[in-house]
Amino acid sequence: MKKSFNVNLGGRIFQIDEDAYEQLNDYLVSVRTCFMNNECGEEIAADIEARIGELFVARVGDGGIVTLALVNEMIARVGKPESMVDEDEMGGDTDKERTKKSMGEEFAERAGEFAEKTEEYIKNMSMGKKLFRDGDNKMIAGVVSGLALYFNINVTLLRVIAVFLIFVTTFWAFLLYLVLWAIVPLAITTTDKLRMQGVEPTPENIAERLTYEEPAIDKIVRNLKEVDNKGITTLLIILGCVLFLSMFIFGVNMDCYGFMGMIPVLFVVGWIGIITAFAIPVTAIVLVVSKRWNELSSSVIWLMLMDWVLSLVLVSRFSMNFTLLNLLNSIF
Amino acid sequence: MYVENVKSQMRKGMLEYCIMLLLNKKPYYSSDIIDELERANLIVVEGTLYPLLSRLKKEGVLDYEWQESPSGPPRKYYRLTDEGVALLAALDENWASLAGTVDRIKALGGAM
Repeated sequence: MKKSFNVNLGGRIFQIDEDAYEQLNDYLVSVRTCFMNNECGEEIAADIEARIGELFVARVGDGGIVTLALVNEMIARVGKPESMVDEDEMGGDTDKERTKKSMGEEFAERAGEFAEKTEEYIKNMSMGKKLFRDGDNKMIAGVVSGLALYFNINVTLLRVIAVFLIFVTTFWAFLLYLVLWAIVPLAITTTDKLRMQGVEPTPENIAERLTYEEPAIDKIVRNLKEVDNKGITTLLIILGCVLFLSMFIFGVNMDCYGFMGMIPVLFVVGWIGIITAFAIPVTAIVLVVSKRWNELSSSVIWLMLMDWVLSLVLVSRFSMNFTLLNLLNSIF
Repeated sequence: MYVENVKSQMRKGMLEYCIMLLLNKKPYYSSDIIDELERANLIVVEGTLYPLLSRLKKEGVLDYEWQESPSGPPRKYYRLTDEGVALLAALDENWASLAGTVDRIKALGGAM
């Protein structure tokens, strides 16, 4: 269920979802800010607004429902304010170089300001900082990355700690991860992303972010899921390989029991199988119940299913051999 | 990457001239200009057009008038001013000379 509003865009009325509204509003504010110094800036911004309205009508008709995906698509089509100005600079080469340079300087300046602002916010932390999952920098669901931003810790360090915790606590730390995945919202709009980093979402900050940060818009237009599930895909493939190879160990294990050295390997592999056999259905249930299921691409879902089947086969062999071992023990 | 850069430079150089060529035929609505330019692969980011039109208007090359549209709000129709027509004639000459240069250099390369 989503809240929706009615908006008037260049003289046309639309129904728009709340998240879509925020994103569109951020974008239009950034366009206005970008052309602020142009004497016809307001007119240009109005033209662009009207164009977006027209594109919406072409897609959903008058009075249609505008979704976040549609807003992002149209923003990509009409372009970031920065790229409009850049392509608009049409002087000679020297002129262009000068523009580029000054833009670089400006960027450095803004980056400096940005760093200062961030530092200031870390000093009086709780102010405005909100815990989100960071979708722009995620391995699985952006939980650790979000936590790292919230507590101002190095992401890589926190990731290493997280992996370590999962191993140490067997899979209890993973359950905690799952709960956070279910509870903590994903930072979707630019306002979310600024709040996540403790920057106040003022129009200027939003404009700055929208103008100078590449991935947000471009990424959503390409299939967000396919691009962003890289970390979890790799993890599942590695897990699948481990499980698959383990089956060979268990397949010829009758001979292996003679070697003491093999037993720790069997122990670890057996635990990985058991944990996977539990963790995958638990993950699936939690994600479905918390309505996060749609964050997974179909390839990830298939990989999860495959790993689960592999783990079940492995566990069944494990327990079978276990009883066989008991049998042998009891005989001799 | 570099190829894209060069192509984009060429596009940029042509853009104003092509817009003026379009407007020389009949008054155009901005979205129709975008359609034409996209068809010709001259524009990638649609929003580029608006600051450009605004600047051409400021330079006195073109002007617009509001017209009722069959559906939706009224639209701005852009057309060349007399000044714009004169500028276009000058640009036509320049284009012919550029095209001539390119052809000549290409022919040189072929002979060698």
